[in-house]
Amino acid sequence: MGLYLRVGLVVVVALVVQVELFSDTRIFGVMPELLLGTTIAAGWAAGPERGALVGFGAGILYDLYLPTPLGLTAIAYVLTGFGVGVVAVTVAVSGERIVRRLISFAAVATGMTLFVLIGVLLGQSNLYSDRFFFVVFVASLYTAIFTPLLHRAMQWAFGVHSDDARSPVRLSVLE
Amino acid sequence: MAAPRRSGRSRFSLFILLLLSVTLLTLDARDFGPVERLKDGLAAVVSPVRSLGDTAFSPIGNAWENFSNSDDLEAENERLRQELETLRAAQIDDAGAAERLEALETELGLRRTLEYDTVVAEVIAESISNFDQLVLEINRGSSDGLVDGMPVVTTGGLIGKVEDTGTRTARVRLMTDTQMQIGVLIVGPDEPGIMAGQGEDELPIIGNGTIPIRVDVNVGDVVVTLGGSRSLYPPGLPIGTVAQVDVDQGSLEQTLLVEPSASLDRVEFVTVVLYDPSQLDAEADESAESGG
Repeated sequence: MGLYLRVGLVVVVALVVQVELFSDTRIFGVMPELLLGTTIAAGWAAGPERGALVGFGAGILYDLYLPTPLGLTAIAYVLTGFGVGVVAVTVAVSGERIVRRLISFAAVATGMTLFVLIGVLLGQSNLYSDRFFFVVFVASLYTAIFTPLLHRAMQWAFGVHSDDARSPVRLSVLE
Repeated sequence: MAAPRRSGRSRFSLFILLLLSVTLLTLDARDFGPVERLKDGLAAVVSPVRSLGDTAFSPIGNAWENFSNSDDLEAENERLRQELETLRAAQIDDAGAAERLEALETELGLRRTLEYDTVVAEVIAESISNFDQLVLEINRGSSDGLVDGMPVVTTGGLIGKVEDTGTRTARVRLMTDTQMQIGVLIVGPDEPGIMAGQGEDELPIIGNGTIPIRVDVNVGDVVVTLGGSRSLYPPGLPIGTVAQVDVDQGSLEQTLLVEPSASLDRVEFVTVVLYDPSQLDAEADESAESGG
């Protein structure tokens, strides 16, 4: 199976699970951000460029089902995927698994904040409410549960056979 | 030297992807036809996989909903039981209410919803966003005559308006959303106003300085859509009742909170009123021309 096919498969499965399962299984009215988690895992596994590319694809697909304008999620995910890729290369190459988990948690929170921030700047003022920080915190925690699975899925998609926390990005970027 | 070159390429890719996203965003905001078709096409491609997912995951979702909402359902049952008792008591008083309502409608020039064509739609999904939750997805679209902005009602009254109309699906933005503003009429004092959504778990508000203190508004007064040639809504659609009146003695104005008459939770079916104010204008122009 080709690289693009594997990556596309992971993204589409994440989309379907997000839309059909997690929209109905919310905790305190909040659902995990699986597609954002997928983007983060892609940035971690394959670096900033591919992280941004997966973020774009995942964001556009998610945008099809959101009432917000097409492209809004894509912008937030592109920036997040790229940012995580940069962090993976420069900071966390030799990080422990817990570091990867913490960075992923922070990245989900950052991605969600970017989405709302850009949305509000574009006139979607309804995206921000008094529950904003609560939603971001719970969603980040909820997504963190699935982070290891998403990392494994993206490592499989990109053909990276690294089971430890050392970022495989360096293999392709820093060589 | 490999790393800097790669880094430069990454930044270029980032720039291109951001540019592409912003372009799509701009075109979508302008309802650019090809982008709409692209959205429809992509959704159609993913649709079979989504249907498969729906079949596979809906039992889990239902089980979760039953588990997580059991307390809410008990409380709702109790509340409905009490409401039923109240309604039975009020039924006696309502013997002449229908007659009075008809007279009132005639006096105010209100038209009943039944005068317009309607389309019944099933709610196929609630919002899948963590932030934009006051939206429903329905299984009717432009092929059924739906157009953005059309009012959506249930047996209880107005619940929102149609937006993002696709060929076979559309979204309904609920009237409690902060993006919603509706021209309303407070029946009783016959005072017009603008009702604005205040978000989830908050009652819509009328006023914000537009209802003078001299207007005699009471809790329980009925609120309906105002209508008019520039309104998206026909006149007389029930919205709810005044639940709270806050008087500001400083500015000599009052603010009202409205309890919607229709339930906005767990909506399964809705009715879209095929009301197009621009068509009414055209009809009015035609009749004026033929009359003149």
